[in-house]
Amino acid sequence: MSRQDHIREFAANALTEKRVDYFIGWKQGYNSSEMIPAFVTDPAEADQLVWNPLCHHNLVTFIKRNMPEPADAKVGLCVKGCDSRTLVALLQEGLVDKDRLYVVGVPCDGIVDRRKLEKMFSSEITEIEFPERGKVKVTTRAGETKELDQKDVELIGCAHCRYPNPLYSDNTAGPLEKEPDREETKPDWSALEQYESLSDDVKQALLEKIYATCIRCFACIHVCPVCVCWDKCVNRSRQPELVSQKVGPKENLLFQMVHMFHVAGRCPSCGACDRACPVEIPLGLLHAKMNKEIYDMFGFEPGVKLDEKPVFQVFDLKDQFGD
Amino acid sequence: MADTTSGAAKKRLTFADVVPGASTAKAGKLAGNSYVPEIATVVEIIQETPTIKTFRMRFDDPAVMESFSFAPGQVGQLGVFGVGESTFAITSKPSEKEFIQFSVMRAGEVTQALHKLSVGDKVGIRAPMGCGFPMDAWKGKKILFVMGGIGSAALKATIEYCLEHRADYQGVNILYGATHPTNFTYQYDIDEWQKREDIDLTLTIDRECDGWQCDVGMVPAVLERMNPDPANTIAILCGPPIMIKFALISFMKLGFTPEQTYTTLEKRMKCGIGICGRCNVGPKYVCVDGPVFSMAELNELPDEL
Amino acid sequence: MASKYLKSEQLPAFLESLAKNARVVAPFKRDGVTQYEPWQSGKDVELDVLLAKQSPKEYVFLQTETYLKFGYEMAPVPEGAEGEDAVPYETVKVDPQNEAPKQVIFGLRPCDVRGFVQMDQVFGGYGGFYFDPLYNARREATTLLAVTCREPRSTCFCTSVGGCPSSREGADVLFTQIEGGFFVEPITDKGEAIAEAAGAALTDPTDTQATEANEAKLASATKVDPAFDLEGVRDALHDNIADKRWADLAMRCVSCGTCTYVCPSCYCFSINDSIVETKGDRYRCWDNCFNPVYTEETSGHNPRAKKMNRFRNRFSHKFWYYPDKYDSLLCSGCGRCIANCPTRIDIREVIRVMGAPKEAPAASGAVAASAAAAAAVAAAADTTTEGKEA
Repeated sequence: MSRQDHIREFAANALTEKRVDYFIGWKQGYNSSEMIPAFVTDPAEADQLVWNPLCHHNLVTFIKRNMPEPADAKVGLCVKGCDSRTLVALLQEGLVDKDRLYVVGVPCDGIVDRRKLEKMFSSEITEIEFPERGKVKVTTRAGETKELDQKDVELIGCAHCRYPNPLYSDNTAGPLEKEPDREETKPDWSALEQYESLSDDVKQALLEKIYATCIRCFACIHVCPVCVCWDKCVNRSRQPELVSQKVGPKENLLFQMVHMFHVAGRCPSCGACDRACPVEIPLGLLHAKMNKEIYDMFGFEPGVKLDEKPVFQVFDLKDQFGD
Repeated sequence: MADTTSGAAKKRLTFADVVPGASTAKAGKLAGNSYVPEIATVVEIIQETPTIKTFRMRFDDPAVMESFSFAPGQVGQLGVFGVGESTFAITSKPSEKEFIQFSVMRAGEVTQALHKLSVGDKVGIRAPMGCGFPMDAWKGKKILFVMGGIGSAALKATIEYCLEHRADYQGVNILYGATHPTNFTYQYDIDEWQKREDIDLTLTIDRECDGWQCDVGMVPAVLERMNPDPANTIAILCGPPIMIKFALISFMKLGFTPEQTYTTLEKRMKCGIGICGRCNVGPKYVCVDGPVFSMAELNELPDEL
Repeated sequence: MASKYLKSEQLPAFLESLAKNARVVAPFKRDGVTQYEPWQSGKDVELDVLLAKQSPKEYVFLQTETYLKFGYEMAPVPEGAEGEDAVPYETVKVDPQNEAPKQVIFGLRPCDVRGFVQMDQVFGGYGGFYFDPLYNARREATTLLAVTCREPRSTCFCTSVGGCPSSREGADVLFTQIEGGFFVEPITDKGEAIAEAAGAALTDPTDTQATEANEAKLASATKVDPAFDLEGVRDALHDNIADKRWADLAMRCVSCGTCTYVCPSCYCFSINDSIVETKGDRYRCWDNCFNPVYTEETSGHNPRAKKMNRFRNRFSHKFWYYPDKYDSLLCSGCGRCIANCPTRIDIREVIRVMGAPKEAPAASGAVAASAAAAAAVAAAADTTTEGKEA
């Protein structure tokens, strides 16, 4: 039985038994190259749910504050390993009610970076198939077809994934994926090396350049599963004018800094912001940097242990600010 | 569907087509830079209730003050430079030529800044905006005002207009409710109204209170006790949403039709000139199509009041 | 003026000549992302990517536009003043801003142009509403050089909303890519002035080139997939306003503003003040109806507190509210909102579902639009002189 079949069965059962009001999984969007979040209320419709390496959406977003409809709905949802860490982060802070959730864990061996693919073809991608595990077959609107190795076109975070299996779930869709030895292997921050080697001035200039194109659409903030202030966001505050509503390189940098600091210690780098950004700003860069700092200072990985408090919610005299 | 080709049939207006040099306060539609406020100076501040102040202001440009006129029910944008603008009902008499007046309840950013003003301070005003009540069409009718709390501000100019043109209207009837005797605005006017024989004024407070001589009870309940005759009457309603909700039920019970029941809406507004898209309720913009609506018009709109 | 031909190699020289009198804006690719940016000598215009991430509306309707500068200062005491008149007092000085440098936008698509045409109604005082001086100053200083779409995307649906990939509506000049260059059709007086100024860069086209351009236009129109039948959509949206399916469709919306900020015709904005000590700005900046606090009032009451209400508002605005007020749709079918939505919410699906008459099956609408494609090209060709100013 495939993971997809497991998901469909768990969803149908949960709906039939009225354990949940609706079940959130993934389904195909307007063509087979786009997967989108699916909200299923009828057990008969559970077979629209799919699982493949295009199911990038972190569905935990849809259970954060102000998202469930109605607010007290009992919700079923699928989580990948990285997604589950954001769920654990919410649970650690008591921001979601465990009793109203039914979680299907989906072990994951990597998610395809659709934007990386887009840049490899001149025509629009209209079809993506997975003929076998590890292979991606892409067809364009112009009719061009190409088969690629999945590992070459995965999201940046997947290569160093430490948690391919969900850390919190009620059921698991199929066998677990192979886990890295986390005691032996420390988190890999090699993607940050280039950034960290820059001088402060160059960093400042680089960040301003990166964020210059930000259009303040709030996609990064609204899709972020641990960004929960939502309608009370400090980024929208006008009096006092903490963050200017003007759009410009310096203002945008501050806007993004607010988001970064606010999710520090709670953001496990799930990458939802990166993928949501319509102008493709590499938002994950600063979040990863923050995660590295927190790991180096406190040995803390966000959203890993259910009974752990987020690092910035505890005060420990033994905490050291570096060496 | 209407013509959807958005084509050349509708020639785009250019600067050559509009009157230059006019502003909202001076002229109306199709003219000048409606975003730029006229500077005015605070000439008098009246503390109405613990949270409401009335501000009287005079435009610094005498020509603007001279030519300023508005229809009862119209609103204006009153702003403090550096804080922002908000929409308020104009509460001066429509015939007033010495000043323009707004009553402001202290609540948010702009209103708090306004409450800190002193006489002599500068403000920016963009007024008048929106549509007023069809006072001419109502000639010969009885006008029944039902208002609660700060809702009185939205109807103040209209009441004044009716009193100035008292002979045009068959009757003027006011029902005004507040939570507590200290929460009535325009106490000085109320004293006058009580003395006049051609106004039927009913005051009510929510709960009994020492020394209170008038009615006690929520506005909708008092309204039902008053039992006004719907014949040849226009009812105008303004107050907190909860009061409006129940007063409407009472009006329907009393036999008032949606066509003869009016209210004036409040919405968060920015541009005030029907462009920024914020104050819409379905296809209607409160800033240009309103703020005055009959219930018959509101019934056609999405439930997003 | 007659049509012209521009060799591909001559394009930089052509843009260079434009840049002498105006700022030139065109689509450029940077770090793999195509956006409209000011042109500089040596930068290659990106025309292979059909649509830049955003429409070029930000060059006419600025994302942040400071329209008022103000400053508090002490009023000078008149010489010889005595008593009360001699007491210094504070006053405020305002300085309205409305700069509109000349600019030429090259490389925008007919749907992008149509976004401007549609926005013109609300900013241009159509139907007796206010004439917006900020927008119109820039609009009048802007010349639009559109390029016919060669490879419409699967998300394009201009033909379903009365447009066409080679539409001349609103454009000053229409460029169509043919073998070795562009077939150039000046449409308005502004467009003709540009063609004249270009001088020798433009040559007379051969008959074959004219035929080739015509064929290219027809071919691109047939590549736009029909999305829905516009007939009856407004009335259906009106009738379906309380329909439960709105909530179902809105479920996967995250209520960000991406769709509105990439849209060529979404125009809602906010106004804010900013002040440091005594000097400040009043500016308008893009805002959007998905912003949860967009309609929130000071009391905390929010008329569109629910995501569903905000979601319904956007689509109804485009196909019902706006058409009622301005006799124009507010959607040009570019499909950017579909391709850039974090959860790929599909405006075509929304209109197919909510824009279908209550009783009729939802899917039937799509078919009629296919025949419309070729008709759209023909119709577009008919509008040759309409854009001309008398």
